[in-house]
Amino acid sequence: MGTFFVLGRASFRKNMVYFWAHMANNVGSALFGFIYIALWRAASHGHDVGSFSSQALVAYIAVTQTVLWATTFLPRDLGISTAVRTGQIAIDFGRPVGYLPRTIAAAMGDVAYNILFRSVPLVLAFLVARVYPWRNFLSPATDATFVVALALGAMTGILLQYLIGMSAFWTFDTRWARRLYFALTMFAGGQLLPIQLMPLALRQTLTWLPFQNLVSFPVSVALHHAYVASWISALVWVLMLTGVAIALTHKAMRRVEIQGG
Amino acid sequence: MGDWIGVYKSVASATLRARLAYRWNFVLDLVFQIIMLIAELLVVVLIASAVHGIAGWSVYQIVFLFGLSSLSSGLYRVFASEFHGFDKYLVNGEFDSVLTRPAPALVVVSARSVDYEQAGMLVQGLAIVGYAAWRLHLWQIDGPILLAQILSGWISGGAIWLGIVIAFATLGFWTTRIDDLAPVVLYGPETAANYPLSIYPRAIQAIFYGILPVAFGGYIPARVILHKGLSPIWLLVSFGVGAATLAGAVGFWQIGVRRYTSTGS
Repeated sequence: MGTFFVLGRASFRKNMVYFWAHMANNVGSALFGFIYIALWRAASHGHDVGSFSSQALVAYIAVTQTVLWATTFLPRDLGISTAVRTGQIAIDFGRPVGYLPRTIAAAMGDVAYNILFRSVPLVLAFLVARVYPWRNFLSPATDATFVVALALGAMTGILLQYLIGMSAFWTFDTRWARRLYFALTMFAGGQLLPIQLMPLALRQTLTWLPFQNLVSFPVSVALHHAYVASWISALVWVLMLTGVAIALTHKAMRRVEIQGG
Repeated sequence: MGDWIGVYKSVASATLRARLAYRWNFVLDLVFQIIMLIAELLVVVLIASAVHGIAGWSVYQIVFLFGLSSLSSGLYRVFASEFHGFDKYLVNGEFDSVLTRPAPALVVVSARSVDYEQAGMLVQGLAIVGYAAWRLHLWQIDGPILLAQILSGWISGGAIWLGIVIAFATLGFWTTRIDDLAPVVLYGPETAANYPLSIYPRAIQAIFYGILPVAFGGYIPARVILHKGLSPIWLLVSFGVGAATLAGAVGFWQIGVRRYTSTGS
């Protein structure tokens, strides 16, 4: 366990080098939040949209912007495709600690950094602008479920990025997988439009896809809008993705031997 | 001056040949961009039609604005892509080699900047503007005047965006890294400009009229063209703002280049 903690801490510290650049980037992230908040405010005009009040929509956007940093904005494909291209991966595979748990530990360091220095500043900005639903977080039950949902979301994000990285063993170029992932997070994840407001068939389908774990699910938990099905879906996907990641890592290890140095 | 155009042409055509070497990436890039922009537009259309317009703008008026704005910002993506990712010149010391070319650095970097893969943005921008204008029955009134107005708005917007992206790259001469500034200076304003600016808080509006004057590259011309309370004189104002932004940025760039010290080893 100690090894994994050290690995996580190392990637946390690596991020600290770019602290001020990240703070500048946070301003941009907040700006995006304010743009979409303004858009939804103007569109809803104080009226309800589906099951969302105007205020709840604004809160949805604000929380989404903060959640994205914990679940979605991770190093691209966790650096795996670069390691595959440069051959570094052969050395990584040879280390005494398993490649998958080690990569996850490092990514968790990134997530911890992002929550502390990306999400928290955004929460503060949205609090000052009075768009963050802080009252929801006064209830310990909400806080507890939100933390669990966020952890599931972060895990899903890490695993999906891992799988994209692993695809480099077969495709060499992960650009398309990454772009598809980005687009799916936006639309299937409920980043631009809450899944709850989509037509019934689409809503039901998206609830059972892993992308809801990244945005829609944790945000909806915070806003008391989550379906029971979303919980089941989130849990099942984390387990399934872990299984696929383990299987794919084994396959990839054999593939490295075939390719040789 | 004539030589510079020659340099621009030859470097730009070399850039094109290099990019076309990866034909499938080129095609896929184009398709992907079109899908992303249409999806974003679709969300807006869905929202706007569910609530019958936003801030006094009807659905198709918003679509028109969206199209005109993406035409404007599309110009910087097609013709100034290297300024957009200017970090690499400064971090790797690549800018040294630019300075040795027989033309001003601005011309050389511009010529390398022609990114045909982004041209999809312009094609769909034109399609969106054309479609919205047709749905709003704008063509029936006076086709040539409408065309001239759209063109004038587009040129103003293009100049504004080119100015912004050149100024953005120039910041790199002081900070070296600029990619983390892009969401504030480029992406955020680019997204914001797709919608009626009146929906934003006053402080944000002030930025888009003053510091990063994207208002004049979409919102203001669209208001003139759609007869939303502005006289055609505002097209001239927008044009002036575009020219001033571009000229200011070029001046700023020259100060930056003089300040450049190589990072080379």
